Amino acid sequence: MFKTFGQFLFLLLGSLLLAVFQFSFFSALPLWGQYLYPGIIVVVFILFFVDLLPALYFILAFGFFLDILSFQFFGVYSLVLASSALIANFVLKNFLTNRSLYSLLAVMFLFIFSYNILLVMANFILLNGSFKLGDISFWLSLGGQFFWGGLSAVLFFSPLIFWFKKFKPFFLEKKQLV
Amino acid sequence: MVKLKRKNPFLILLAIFLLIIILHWGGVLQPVERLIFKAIRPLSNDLYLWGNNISASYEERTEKEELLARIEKLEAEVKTLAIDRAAYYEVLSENEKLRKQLDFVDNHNFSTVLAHVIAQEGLFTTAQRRDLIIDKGRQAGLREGLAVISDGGIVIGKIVAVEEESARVCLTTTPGCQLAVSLQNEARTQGLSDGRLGLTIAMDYIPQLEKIAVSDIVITSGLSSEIPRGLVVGKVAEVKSESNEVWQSALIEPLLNFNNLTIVSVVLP
Repeated sequence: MFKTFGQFLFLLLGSLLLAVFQFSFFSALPLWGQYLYPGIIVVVFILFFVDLLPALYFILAFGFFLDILSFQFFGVYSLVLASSALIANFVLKNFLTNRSLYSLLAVMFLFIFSYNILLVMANFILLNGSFKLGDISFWLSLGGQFFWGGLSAVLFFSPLIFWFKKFKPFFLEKKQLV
Repeated sequence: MVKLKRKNPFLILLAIFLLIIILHWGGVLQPVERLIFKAIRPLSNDLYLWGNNISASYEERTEKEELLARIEKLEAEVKTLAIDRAAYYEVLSENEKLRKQLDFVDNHNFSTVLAHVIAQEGLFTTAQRRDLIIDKGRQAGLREGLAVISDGGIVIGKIVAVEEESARVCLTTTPGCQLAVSLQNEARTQGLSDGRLGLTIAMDYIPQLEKIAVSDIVITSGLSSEIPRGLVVGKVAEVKSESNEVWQSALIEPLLNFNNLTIVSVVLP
């Protein structure tokens, strides 16, 4: 599962720090800043540039810490993040033919949309919450998350492509010399 | 030779997830959760303060005319309050004498627990439904229904959920956060206040015969067992009254800005 204990520790500490940042720092920002969900952005990047399994490891740790800190139903964040990752991965593997910026944007938007819809459903089922399709706060929140997710994708795509090309050239096909 | 099946990592992850859920709901993980929360509490507090400072500087109004108008309004209020203060102290002094004579028990005896705000939380990121998370919980003696006040003694909300080391506070301006309140008018009108759009507080179903005026102070009525009487909630900003209606309603303005709360106190009756 983990090659070294160091990798495991890095995952735990990294996900804990990110969870605390998302829970405390970003929630204190003005409304436009509160729409930035670093956890979602990191999950999508791991899913897109690495693979589903490392993304799920991260979700397990990050979701666990977020569930401890928050007052939502315990496990809801882990479950919703994992489900969104599975949906996004399914589309990535079966419908997107390359690892371009457009593919990353598509995965990002799909993940964010799935995450929000699943969270609403979980709130409705587990907490007897209510939701109206015309709830403007839901659509504003979605729009804000799309903006930050899209911006992060555009800003970090090139550096991450360079980074991962350096260590894992899965973008290039090996051609055999005849 | 029999080949051993490779373990499916997805099944392992699912098993770990289910185990965590079962251990949490069984209470086995509680010491670990408390330890994690205690460990990150200082960091959480500092991060929230940092974010709050950014938020406060973003919201600062720099137009000169607006500031001047606000100063003028506040100066007028200070003058009125100075007169009220003098009258208040006279009444207080008389009240003390009467209490001693009649051997009344002081019903304003309550203690408070100081807490730091470490996060805001809501299902969706919206100004309307953001509850505060504070860094004190069951271990500090907190329970659901207790009033939460600012450092100036103004009621900002009440506790709606409690964990061992943290608690969730709904603000008085949040829809669904209801308080039993009383107006400081002639009739001492009582009712329920409820939040409106995360910005203001409303008190509905007030009988038409009750006389309410703008600037009437709204206090907690003491009808709730967990919240003592006399804590200031806000003041009446607008009265909505139609002569052909059975009820009238009042819009109540909170006396402080809820966006910059970092330290609060929980009232223990």
